[in-house]
Amino acid sequence: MRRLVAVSSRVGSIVWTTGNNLAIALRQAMHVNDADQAVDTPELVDGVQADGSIVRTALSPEERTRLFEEQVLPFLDRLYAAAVRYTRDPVAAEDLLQEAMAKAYSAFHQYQQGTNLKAWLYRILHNTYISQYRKKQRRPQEDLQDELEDFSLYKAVGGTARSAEAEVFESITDDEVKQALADLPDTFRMAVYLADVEGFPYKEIAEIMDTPIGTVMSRLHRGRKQLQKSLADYAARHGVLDGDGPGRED
Amino acid sequence: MANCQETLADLTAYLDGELPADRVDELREHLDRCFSCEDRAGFEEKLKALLKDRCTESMPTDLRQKIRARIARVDL
Repeated sequence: MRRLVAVSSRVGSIVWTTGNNLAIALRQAMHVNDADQAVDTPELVDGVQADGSIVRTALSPEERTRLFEEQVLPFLDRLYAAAVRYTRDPVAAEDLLQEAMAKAYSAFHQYQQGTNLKAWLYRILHNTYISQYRKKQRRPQEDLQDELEDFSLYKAVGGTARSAEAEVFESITDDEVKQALADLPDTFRMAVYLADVEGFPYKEIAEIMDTPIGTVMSRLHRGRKQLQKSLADYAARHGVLDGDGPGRED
Repeated sequence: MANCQETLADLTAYLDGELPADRVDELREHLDRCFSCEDRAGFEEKLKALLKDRCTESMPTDLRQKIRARIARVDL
């Protein structure tokens, strides 16, 4: 099944709420894996739950646990890293991840096998964070100082000086990069993290964050500008960049 | 043939893997023959990679087991 996960995560679109007959997809998936290992075909029954949600896979408790462990647990390390960036706190990240995994396990019959599991899991992580944590905080500010709109670290570093460029990147510590990201407003931070660290396409970020693609692109643009300004400030503190440099696009 | 202005306008989408294939070819052709844009592209690529390379975390060793235990308690 592990190979199936790797393939399905490249499928690209999040279609777990719509789509084809899961039973067929899952049987095909099982067939693909027959060569690798003997896999018991799970009992599959289409159905609708009491709350009206569509059951994509009627899983026995044993089957649910087995598939969840095979397919979901390999993502734990990356999900934990994401949870730390979301919460900005390692302890809160543990709570968030546990809660999100409990939800994913409960809802695992709604995941359509063969579709984008990684995006499905990040959406659950995202929603869990929103419902559990963000309501405790004041609303995030999406304001960006106007002077940052055209800020560019490239211009601040000064164009084509390769040595200066390397010096700037090397001077900034891991903790400073993390802090620069942590200092972004929630929605900017998430968009930048999902794009630059996780490599999700805009369309999938839009679905994970439940927002239009245009909003994702705007958050990415503004988040990156603000991040570059923070990195420039750290580099200036390390004495490898002129803190008063303009850093403006021409 | 893309010019510098068009190339820089497309650069973010290109590095994000969001540029349509026909424009990717044009952009790459331009980068091949324009030092200034190629330099800019290289910088932005490194900047993007910086975040991915530096934002790593080690999951606490007991968390995987905690999650398994948590799942086992889920009331379906």
